[in-house]
Amino acid sequence: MSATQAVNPFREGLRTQRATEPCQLIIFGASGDLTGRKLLPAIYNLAQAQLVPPSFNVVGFARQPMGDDGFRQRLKDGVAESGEVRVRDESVLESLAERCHYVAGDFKDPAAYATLKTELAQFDARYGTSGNCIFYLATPASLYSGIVEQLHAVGLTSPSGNGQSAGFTRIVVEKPFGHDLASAKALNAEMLRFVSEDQIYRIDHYLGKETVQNILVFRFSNGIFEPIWNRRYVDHVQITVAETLGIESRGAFYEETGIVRDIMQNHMLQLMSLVAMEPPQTFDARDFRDEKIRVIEAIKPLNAAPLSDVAVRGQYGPGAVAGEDAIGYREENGVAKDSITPTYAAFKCQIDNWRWAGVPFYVRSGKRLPKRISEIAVQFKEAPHLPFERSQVEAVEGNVLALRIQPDEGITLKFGAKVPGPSMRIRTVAMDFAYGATFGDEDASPYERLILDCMKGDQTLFDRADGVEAAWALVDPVLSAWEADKSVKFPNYAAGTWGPAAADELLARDGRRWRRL
Amino acid sequence: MSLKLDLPPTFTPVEVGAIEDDLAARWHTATRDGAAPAAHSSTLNLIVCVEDAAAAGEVSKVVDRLAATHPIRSLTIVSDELADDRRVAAWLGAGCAPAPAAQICSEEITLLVNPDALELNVSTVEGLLAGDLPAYFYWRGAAPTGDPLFAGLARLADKVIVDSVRFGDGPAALDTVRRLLNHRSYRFGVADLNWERTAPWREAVAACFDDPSVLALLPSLDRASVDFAGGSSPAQRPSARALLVAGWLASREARLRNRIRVRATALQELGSGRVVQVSLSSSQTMAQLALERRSSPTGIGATARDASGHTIRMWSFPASTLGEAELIHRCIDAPARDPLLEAALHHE
Repeated sequence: MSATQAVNPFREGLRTQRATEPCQLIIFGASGDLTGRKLLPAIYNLAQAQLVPPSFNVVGFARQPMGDDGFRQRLKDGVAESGEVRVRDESVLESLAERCHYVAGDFKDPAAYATLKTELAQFDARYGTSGNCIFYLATPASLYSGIVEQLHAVGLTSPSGNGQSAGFTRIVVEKPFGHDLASAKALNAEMLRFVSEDQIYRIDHYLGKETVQNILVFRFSNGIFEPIWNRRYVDHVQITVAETLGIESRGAFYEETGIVRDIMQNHMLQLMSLVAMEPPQTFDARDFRDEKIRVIEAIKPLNAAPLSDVAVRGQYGPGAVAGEDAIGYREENGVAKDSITPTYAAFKCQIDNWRWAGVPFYVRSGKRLPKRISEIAVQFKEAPHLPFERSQVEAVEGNVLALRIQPDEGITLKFGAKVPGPSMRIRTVAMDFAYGATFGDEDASPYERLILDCMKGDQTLFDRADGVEAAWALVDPVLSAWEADKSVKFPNYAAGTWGPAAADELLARDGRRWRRL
Repeated sequence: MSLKLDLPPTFTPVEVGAIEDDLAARWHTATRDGAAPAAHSSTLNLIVCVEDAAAAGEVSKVVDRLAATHPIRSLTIVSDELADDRRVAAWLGAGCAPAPAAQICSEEITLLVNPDALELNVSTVEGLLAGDLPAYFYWRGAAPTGDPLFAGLARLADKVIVDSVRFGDGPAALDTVRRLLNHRSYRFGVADLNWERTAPWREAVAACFDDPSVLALLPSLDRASVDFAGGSSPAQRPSARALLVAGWLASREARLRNRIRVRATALQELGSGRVVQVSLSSSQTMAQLALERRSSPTGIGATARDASGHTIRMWSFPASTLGEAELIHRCIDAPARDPLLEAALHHE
């Protein structure tokens, strides 16, 4: 061989322009629900779309004895049962299954990691994965630092992969990343003892959603919106993440979590930062995440004012959702009869920067609300002067631009239009763009997108340590105050309603109201 | 008019001048009855030109498949010398794709034209294009060199799509594509369905070289071969697809230029002209990357060997045969000019 070649000349210009490097994907918690329901179907979809590298294999790691055959059956069952599998191709499934292996071991047992290392070396030689490893920790967050420490102890966390100079090691972790600011800082510090920040991929699957990414495209590829995307034209912003479901069978988990940790600290602040961020210079991981984090850091601390002026909590009682009776939160399995865990929260946030000074961001999320809907609504200021008679314009509302995240993904712009007829009557109409009516291809699931990005080494859509800590710093005072104040009277909203009356008052005090969704 | 088009029963005859009103009424009714969403999108115009009445039904099926994923306005031009040369006959179909893509709604217009009435035909099509949307023109016929209807309709198009298999499938077919590409007036250039058929081979070769250990072999690989199915009696003339793959290899790696052999293999079970094997090898050592078509499961198998001839990697790439609608889909989804095709034709 006369010379080495660094770039693959055959890749340029093809549809898959950035190839994933050869790698092994090792899933900790391989017997768990997330692996079967989300991760394995997502990996299959990537294989079916020929987006995994040819030199690729999957290793399941968990305590439960299963063997290769058992793990392969999990893959097949997951693909069969998943609603996210688009094309079922038996030959792809078989080919992927042949590359799936299972190693049984206790996450706390050093010997299990030594075995894992030996097995990974053999798979590496067999599949040609160049020493590249992605460790996906689909486990409780309390195990993260212990697993990373054990991987480090056996030499599996080297930034350059499994002992090979060209390789890489990446660690994927799921939210919740910490329970509060102190635990998040401790967890970051623990993990960063053994791996560097650019090896850690903190998943918030919301960022993997096509429609969430479309917020960026909408804002930064259309010249007509950015000039009015500021305090001069925007009256306020409302963000809603509403669920009809209760807590299902996750009573014990939810008692420890609540709506603030489950939604507000992560998904909600992600959405808010995408709406409010400055245009990044580029969409590389550093520029993009820098701008996102700047927004969260610019939010006025929620405890700067009396908390009740800016934050409302709620918990659902019995009611009816979607035509069926629903029990109250305190009647759910695993929930204390005197629980004060919030299932609803609404915040009024102020972003202290030049663009957004004085523009409130009202954000709300709750369980057992009347509709499952996630949307961002930008309410524009009213026209400065209306040259019509008062009776003609009474029904006119300000312009609203609503970005619907789910379901029925799309964008709606509300504006006033003349009602046909001899008199000058104005009615607000909605101009609707529906994703589903325009793009027929089915979306990739968020996990597909994020696993693929991790394989490519692209951290853009993953949380960074300082971002996670900034988000906790914002909600921590609220959590502390609410957890300390046990005098709250719960339940304070019936299942199937839009939350407690105090949430309506939060806006009413400012002369506004929540959008009827 | 004695000509009869084999169109689906959902198509109804309509006067050309009434098409827009008819469409508006159809959407109004469909929305009121819940058969269509309140707002329907449209992303592009697709003009399809076929050379005989018998193909109209066939094209309608292709457009239907395409319409399941693209909200389009399609204008199928059936050019037949027996058609009336003083008026254009039209049929209209519009509706929404069946679930799960039920929100995707399309408008399908079929026009029967006499090729001699050029001005009438082109102005009719121009008047029916959905405004301010890109127009893709799929010429589903033989080499259009000198064809006035092709020239007239291509003038309306942002991108021209052809299938060089219909041009005779050989070097001459690619000459025609090359000539079309030289017409710089099409904003998005020219696409060739036959080029899209080679995509699985190009993707597979690229995927093999994504592996660093195989990429390390590349400097020693200085010759290549592309084998194609030549039918029961291997033709002397190389197939367009094989030439395109060879041109692409040469355009990507200068070392291979003038060192690629294109040869026919006697294979009766495969359609003539299909690529069956691609190989890059070393003239000095036993290093080689060989890819070959496999039938069970359908796909491409690949093997990389090092300088000593030892196998270092083996892969299997699933690859299903793409239908006409899927190939057009690929051309539409990449609206820009295709520099790879242009380079492949340059080096072919």
